Amino acid sequence: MWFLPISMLVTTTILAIPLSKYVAWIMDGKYHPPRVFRWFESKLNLGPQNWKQYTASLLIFNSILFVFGYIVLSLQPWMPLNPQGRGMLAPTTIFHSVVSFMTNTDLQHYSGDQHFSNFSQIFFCLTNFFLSASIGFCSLAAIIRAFRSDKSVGCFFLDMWRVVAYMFVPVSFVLALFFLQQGTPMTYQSNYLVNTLEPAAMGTADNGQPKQQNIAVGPLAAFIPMKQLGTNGGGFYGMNSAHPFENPTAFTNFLSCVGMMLFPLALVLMYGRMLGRMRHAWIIFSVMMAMMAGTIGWTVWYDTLKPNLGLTAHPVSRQYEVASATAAGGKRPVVLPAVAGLPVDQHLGNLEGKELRFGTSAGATFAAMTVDVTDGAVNCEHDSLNPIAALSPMAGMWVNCIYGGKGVGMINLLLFLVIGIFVAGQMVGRTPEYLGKKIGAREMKLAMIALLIHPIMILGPTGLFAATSWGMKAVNNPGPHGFSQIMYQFSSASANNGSAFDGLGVSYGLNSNPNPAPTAQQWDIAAALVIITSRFIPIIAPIAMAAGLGAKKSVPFGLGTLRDDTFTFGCLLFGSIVIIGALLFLPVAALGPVAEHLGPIPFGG
Amino acid sequence: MDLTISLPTMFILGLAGMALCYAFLIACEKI
Repeated sequence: MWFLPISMLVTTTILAIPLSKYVAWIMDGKYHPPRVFRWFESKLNLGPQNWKQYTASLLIFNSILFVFGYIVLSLQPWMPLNPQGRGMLAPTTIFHSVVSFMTNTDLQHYSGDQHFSNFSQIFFCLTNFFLSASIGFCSLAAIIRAFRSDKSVGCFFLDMWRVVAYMFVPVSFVLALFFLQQGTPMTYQSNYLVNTLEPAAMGTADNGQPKQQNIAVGPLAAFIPMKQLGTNGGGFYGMNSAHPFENPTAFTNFLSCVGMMLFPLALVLMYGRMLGRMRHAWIIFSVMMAMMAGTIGWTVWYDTLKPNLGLTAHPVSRQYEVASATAAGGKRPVVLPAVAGLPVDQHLGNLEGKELRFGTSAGATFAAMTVDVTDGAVNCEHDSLNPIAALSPMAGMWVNCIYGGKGVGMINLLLFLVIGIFVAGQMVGRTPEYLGKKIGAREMKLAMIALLIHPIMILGPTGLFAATSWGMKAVNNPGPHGFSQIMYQFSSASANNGSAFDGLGVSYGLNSNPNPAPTAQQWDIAAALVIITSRFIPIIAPIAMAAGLGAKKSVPFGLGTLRDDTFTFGCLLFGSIVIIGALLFLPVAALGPVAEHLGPIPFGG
Repeated sequence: MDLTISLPTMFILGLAGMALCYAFLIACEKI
C-alpha cells in the first residue's frame, strides 16, 4: 500500500541529486561540447541577453511553435503516415490542441488513437514534448542568473538547445530502452486488424461476417519517455497511461512516476547549486516533499483505504430535489431506492476506474503525483476517485508548486516565498530581503500579478461555465460533482497540468463530425485562452521580478536578517503556501468535492 | 450562439494571444 509511493519518492530523490549536479554544470556552460555540436552552438548563441531580450526570444519561439503546430494539424489529411485517412480536426480543437501542447499543458479535447495520424503524433506531439518542456527550464535558469546579478541572464536559444540535447534526449533514450524491454510497441505501422477470440465481439458487418478489431499502434517507446520526463502528459491513446501499450506493466508504471518527477525534483536542487546555496534549496525541497507526501497520503487514504460511497449500503429509500433547467419549477426529484448492499468486494477500497494491473494504490498515487508535478498523464479515472480524495489532485493544481513543472513549479514557489518573506518582514518591521536583496514595491507588484492570474483564470471561467448552459450542457453529473468537473477542467488548464477529470462533453472531434459535444467549441476556446494566459504571465512577471532584485545592491547579512536555510524558514514557506492557497480556493473546494463528500447520494454519502 | 469558426479565425486568435503576452512583457518594464 504505502511501499509503492515511498519507493517512488526515494528512488526519484536519489536519482535527482546527481542529475541536479549535471544540469547545473550544463546550464552554467562548464561543459565542452562535442565537435559536431560546437559549430551549431556557436550559431545558436546570439550573445548575452538581458531579461527583456531573453523573454522576448521565449515568446517569439513559442509563436513559431504555435504556427508550426497549427500547420501540422491543419494539414493532417494530406500528410504521410496516415493510412487510416484521419481527417482534419475542428478548427477550435486544433487551436486548443496547439496552445495546449506548445505550453506543456497537453490537455486533450481529442483522443489520440481516434483522431491523430502517426505523422501528427510524431511531428506535433513529440516535437512539442521536447521543445515546450524546455521553456520552463530555461526560464528558471534565467531567474537564477538574474538573482546572481550576472551580467546577462543567458541566451535563450542556447539554453534551450542545452536542455534538449544534453538532458532530454539522452535521458529519454535510456528510459525508452526500458519501455521497449517491457513490451511497449515501437513501429510506424498505424494499426493492426485482428480476429477476436470471440467471433462477433466487435459486432457484425452488413454481410453478416464478424468484424475485426482495429488496434492502434505507433512509435510509443519513443513517445512515452518524453511524455513523462517533460511532464507533458499528453497520451498517445485516449486512455493515456491506463492503456496496456502506453503503460504495459507495473514496472513501467513505476518508471512513469519516477520519470515525471525526476526533472522537477532535480531542478529544485539545481537552483541551490547554481546559486551556491544548497541548504536553502534543501529547505525548499523538504517543504515540497512534505506537501507531496501529504497529497499522496490524502489520496491513498481516502480512495484506497475507503470504499466507494456510491456502492455502499443505503438501507432506507430517500428522495431529493435537484436543480433542472427543463423541469417545471426548476427542480426535479431524484429517488434513491434502498440498497442493502451491492455484491461488490470493497475491502481494497474504491476500485472504480482503477487499472488493477498496477496494484490497488497505484491509481491514487499516480493521480497525486501527476498533478503535483503538472504532468497530466493519468492511469486511473480521476472522475471516479472518492469525492474527498479528488480534493488532493485539485489542491495540487491550485498551489501549483509541489515541485510543479520543470522550472515553472520552482518559479511558482518563489512567488509564495517572496510574499511570505514580505509578510514576515512587515510583521517584525524590517524591510524584507531575499538573497541579500531588498524586496521593493515593484517586486511585490510583479509577484502578486503572477500569483493572482492563476486563481483568476480558474475561478472566473469556472463561475461562467457553471452558471450558463455552456457548462450545464457539458457535465455528465448534477450537483457538486458536475461543478467539480467544470472546476477541474479550468484548474488543469490554468496549472498547465493537462490531466482530465472526465465526465465533461468537451470533444468536437474531427471537423466532419455530425454530432459533436454541444458546447465543445466554447470549451476549446475558453480552455485555450486560460492556458495561454496562465502559461506566459507567470513566467514573464517572475523573470522581471528577479531582474529587478538582481539589479539591486546586496545588503550585508546582519543580526536581523531572516535566514533562509533554517527549519523556521521552511515553516514560514509551508505556512505561506497553505494559507494563501486556502484563502484562494477553499470556497470552491466547499462547493465541489467537500459538498459532494458531505452531501447525500448520488452527490456523496 | 453560432460559433462556427474557421481555421484562419482561430489562427489569428492564437497569434493575438501571443501578442498580448508580448504586450505584457513591455508593460512589465513600466511597473
